[in-house]
Amino acid sequence: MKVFWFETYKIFSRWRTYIGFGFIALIVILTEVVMKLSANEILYRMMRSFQKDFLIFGNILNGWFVTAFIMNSLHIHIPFLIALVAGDIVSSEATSGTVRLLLIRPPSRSKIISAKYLTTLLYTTGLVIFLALMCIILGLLLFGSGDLIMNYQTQLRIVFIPEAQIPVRMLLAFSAAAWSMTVVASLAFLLSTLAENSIGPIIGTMALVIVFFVLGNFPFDFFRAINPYLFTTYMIFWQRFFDHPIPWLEITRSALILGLHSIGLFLIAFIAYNRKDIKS
Amino acid sequence: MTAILLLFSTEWIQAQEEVTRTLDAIEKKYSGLRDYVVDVRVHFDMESLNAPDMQAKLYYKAPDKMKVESKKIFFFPKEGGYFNPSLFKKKDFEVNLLEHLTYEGRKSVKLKLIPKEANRYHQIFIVTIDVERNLIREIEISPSDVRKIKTTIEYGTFDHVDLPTHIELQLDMSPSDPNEIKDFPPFGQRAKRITGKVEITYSNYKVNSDLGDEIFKDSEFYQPK
Amino acid sequence: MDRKDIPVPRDAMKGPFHKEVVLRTNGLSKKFGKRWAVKDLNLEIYRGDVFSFLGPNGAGKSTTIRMILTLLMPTAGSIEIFGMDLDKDRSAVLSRVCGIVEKPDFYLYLSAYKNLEIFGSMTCSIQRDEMMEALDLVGLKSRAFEKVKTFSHGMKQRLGIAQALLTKPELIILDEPTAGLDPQGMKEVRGLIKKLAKEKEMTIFLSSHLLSEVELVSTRMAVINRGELITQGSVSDLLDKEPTEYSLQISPLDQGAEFLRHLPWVEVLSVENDRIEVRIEPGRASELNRLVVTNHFEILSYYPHRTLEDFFLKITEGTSEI
Repeated sequence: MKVFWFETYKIFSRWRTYIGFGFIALIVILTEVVMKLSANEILYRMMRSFQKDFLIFGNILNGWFVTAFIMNSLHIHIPFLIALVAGDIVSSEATSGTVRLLLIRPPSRSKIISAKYLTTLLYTTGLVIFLALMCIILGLLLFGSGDLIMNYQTQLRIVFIPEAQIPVRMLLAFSAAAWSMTVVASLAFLLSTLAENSIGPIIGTMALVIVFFVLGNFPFDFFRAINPYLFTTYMIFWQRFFDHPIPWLEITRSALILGLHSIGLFLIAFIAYNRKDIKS
Repeated sequence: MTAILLLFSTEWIQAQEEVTRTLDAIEKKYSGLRDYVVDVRVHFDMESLNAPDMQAKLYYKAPDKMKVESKKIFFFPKEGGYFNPSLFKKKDFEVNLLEHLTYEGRKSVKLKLIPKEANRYHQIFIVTIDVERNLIREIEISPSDVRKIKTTIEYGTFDHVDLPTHIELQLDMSPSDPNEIKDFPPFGQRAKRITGKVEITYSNYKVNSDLGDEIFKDSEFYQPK
Repeated sequence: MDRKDIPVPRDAMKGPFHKEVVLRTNGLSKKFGKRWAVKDLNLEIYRGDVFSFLGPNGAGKSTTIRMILTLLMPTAGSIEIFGMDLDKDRSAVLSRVCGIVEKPDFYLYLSAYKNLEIFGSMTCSIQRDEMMEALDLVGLKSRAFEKVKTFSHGMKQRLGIAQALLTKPELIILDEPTAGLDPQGMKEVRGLIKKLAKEKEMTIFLSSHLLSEVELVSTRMAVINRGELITQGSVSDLLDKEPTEYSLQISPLDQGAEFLRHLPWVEVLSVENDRIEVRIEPGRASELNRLVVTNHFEILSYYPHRTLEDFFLKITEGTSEI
């Protein structure tokens, strides 16, 4: 535990760790202010297919809707912020030379790499929790509360979530989002273990995530066939918590696949680190 | 030849007289209805709208004021969703008698109403009226391939006034933009028709409680600007 | 003759330490690709030794030290420290060992104190007082809470020594401990090494290419070249195997030089500036001293010249870049 607490102290003593939190705060504030100013346009686009035939009452553009809206871009900006720290946590020791003091201590390499990984997961979860709190608190303050309407564009339907159910669903959704982001963290962590500098792992992680996302969305047979093998396909499974009924089987399957990815990536990092010759 | 023409014109005149009587009877029946307040519960059975039952309070004041009060988000069908007895005034429509029929064991007529003023959807109404009780039982709005809404109404009596207890709407409508495509070809889906059923249940009527106009000042439903 | 001018034999510098083997390597080898960086190395270091590990650049010194400190995985062979197999009892062994490999690097964004706390606490529980004491010992107490990025190279070196001493290790391993230091800094480090060995009874294993430094502090040494052990033993034993050059001031000078030329095991190299430079057979320094005295010459001074450099260059076949 001591090693874990020291790793945590080290991470949170660096200013670059706070870039992620600052960036999230900025994104959330900007988005919510703009949404406040553009409320009518947003609602019009969303309700277009229904307002011809229905009168719509109530606070549709509420804090929960805004939170869900911002969450939809979570898989675009959060991976970079995670890679910034996860891609640096192991390789920075080599860059700075502190690895020569660190690895001659009694704690085994297994303990050290595990502590670093746990710290990475702590940071990842913290980032997602911060996003959740910012979105929800600011959203409820600016837009108030109400029921949640989710517009599933690709399925051409709207799902209506009663207000009473939203807090639990949000908790599950953000937990799932954190779970999916651990794959990105694990990937960056692995690259950090293999590299001697931080730039490579950070860029490498982002490149892989972007390429996988792009490949997974190409509308051609070949790419549709490889879709199930790309972890990015499952990364937005948190959205399913806003469906009705909640597709538990699909969610469980996605969570398992992502979990296996995280474990596999960490195991590779674990083995590589234990066998690595420290020449720097 | 003249006799035939005379016969047809006589029949047409009789039909028009019957239409006039029917609509006048309905107008007279509800002439004493000044306002009502009712609890509304809406149940959706639609593929494109997955929502739990919604509840609200509906205020109506003759001839055409309506307000919905809901603590939560509430979807309410624009047409056929609430009972407005002055909706089918004869002076506003060209009315044709389509047929006489028996509806749930009662003598009824089916009328075709074409608005004299053109509206956005070029709607026409086919209305089935129970002439024994002077009650509108069914309304079909714009029965065509583009858009079809069929409303079925059941009534109860509240303070000597027949008011709906249950309205069922069957919807079959084209999407707002028929050419809109989701996703890329060949996997793209064209925007689908909106089909399904909406059931509205009314309860706890308060009739003629002399609602003030101030209640209807801020009608809270969302309208596109 | 004044006794203080007669050099004290090196053997008398050994303290009353028990000859326990603190570190032993058995057939230690490391291969990088096709190249053997270290091959079949067998070292023995005894408790209380100040053991120097000499070799030209690229000889395998750092590789050996890194293997001992578990930074590199040996290709073959084993390492025993305090009688324990390093591979099996790594944690127990390293809790009694500390080291500095190349220059000590720290977390620049943390203070000196925090760095010591992190590294020290990974070995054992360290109190604040102990950390401040260690910083005081190396003259950094006043800078304890400043970030290490504000430190000079020499200060970081001293901080490295502080972290090495903090956990009171029994074996300290130093790779080029005076690298990058000015002469004053070098002198301080050498003094500290001697003090640690004598007063704290620590065993010190250091690698260096500065022969003067080795000669001044070491009790035992090993020489490695091209990954293979050339020789190993006490400094005095190794040097005594080779002829030693001495400088004498005796009176009268010319008669003394003539007397020395008649000794078959003495080679007179030069006579100038009141000094006679001689080369004598190993182990005969005290005999020369006795003969000069008993033949009624006055010895004003008598001391050996540095021969370690010659010794080193000779056994490494002149491949040194020193």
